[in-house]
Amino acid sequence: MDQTTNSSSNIWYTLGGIVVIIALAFWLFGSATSPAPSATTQTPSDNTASALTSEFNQTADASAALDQDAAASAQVVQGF
Amino acid sequence: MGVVGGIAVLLLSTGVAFAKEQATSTRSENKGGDYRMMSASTTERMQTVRDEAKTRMTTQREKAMKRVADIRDGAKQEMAQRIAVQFDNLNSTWTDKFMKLLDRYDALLVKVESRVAIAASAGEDTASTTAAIQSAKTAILTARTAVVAQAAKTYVLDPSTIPATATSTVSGQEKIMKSLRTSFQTLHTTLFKDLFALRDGPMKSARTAVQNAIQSLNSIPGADEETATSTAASNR
Repeated sequence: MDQTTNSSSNIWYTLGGIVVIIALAFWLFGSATSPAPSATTQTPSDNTASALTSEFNQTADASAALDQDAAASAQVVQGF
Repeated sequence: MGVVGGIAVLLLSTGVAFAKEQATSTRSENKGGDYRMMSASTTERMQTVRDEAKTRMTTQREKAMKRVADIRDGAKQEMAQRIAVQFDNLNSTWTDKFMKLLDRYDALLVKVESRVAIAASAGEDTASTTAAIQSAKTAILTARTAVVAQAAKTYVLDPSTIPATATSTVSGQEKIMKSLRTSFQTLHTTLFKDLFALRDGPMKSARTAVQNAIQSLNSIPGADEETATSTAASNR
């Protein structure tokens, strides 16, 4: 009976140890493959709908600038 | 024994959750990498078409400059030489600007996609936003193609329109100046007609499509929740 109890405990300890080793392996694997922070790593607040709307509105479509360049070029050509 | 088993299970579930989070982060960074690759390849293509156009027009450009060199007035000759190259320079400048603008639109879409992924994992309906993102990507790609096509165009003086005889006489000089003025006006009109068509066509469509994607994101309830896990935690 004692021998049976002992071997049963040993099996449980062994199983527990295997699970711990697997968990550590997941942890180490995750740390090893995590890429270095890059310029594109974004904080959660960078891509909220309101932040994106704001960023979009600040992105000029260059319409006015092209009109200005057209006018400037026309003036140069007229002055020739 | 039970404690050991419990700790082991806790460590295992933490490891699994961490690995999953890394996978999600890697996926969104891969999308950012995809847009950077596309941007880099389009920029290379643009440079290639510009180099080809430059090579193609070298002879015409040299002949045109020889005609310009017939102008006796030094100041006017210098001005003509400056104007002759400004059209190609303007085309390069604006195709670069348009391409950079498309890169910014792509970067915005990557952020929209990552936010949609968070909303989707929280159980929100993201079908219409996903469709809007796809439309925006298509519009941006169409615009990139149009910009590369514009970059391949050249606006070079046609030497055959400039008289080459009797250039030393006063009337000869007047004829040269008149034909140069006409040629410059034609080049200016053609260049800006093409650039305006690009700005008001594919570029505007791309901008509108990106705006629609962002507006669609706005319409998802809880779109601004930090993470799916924080959403789930706050809903308990």
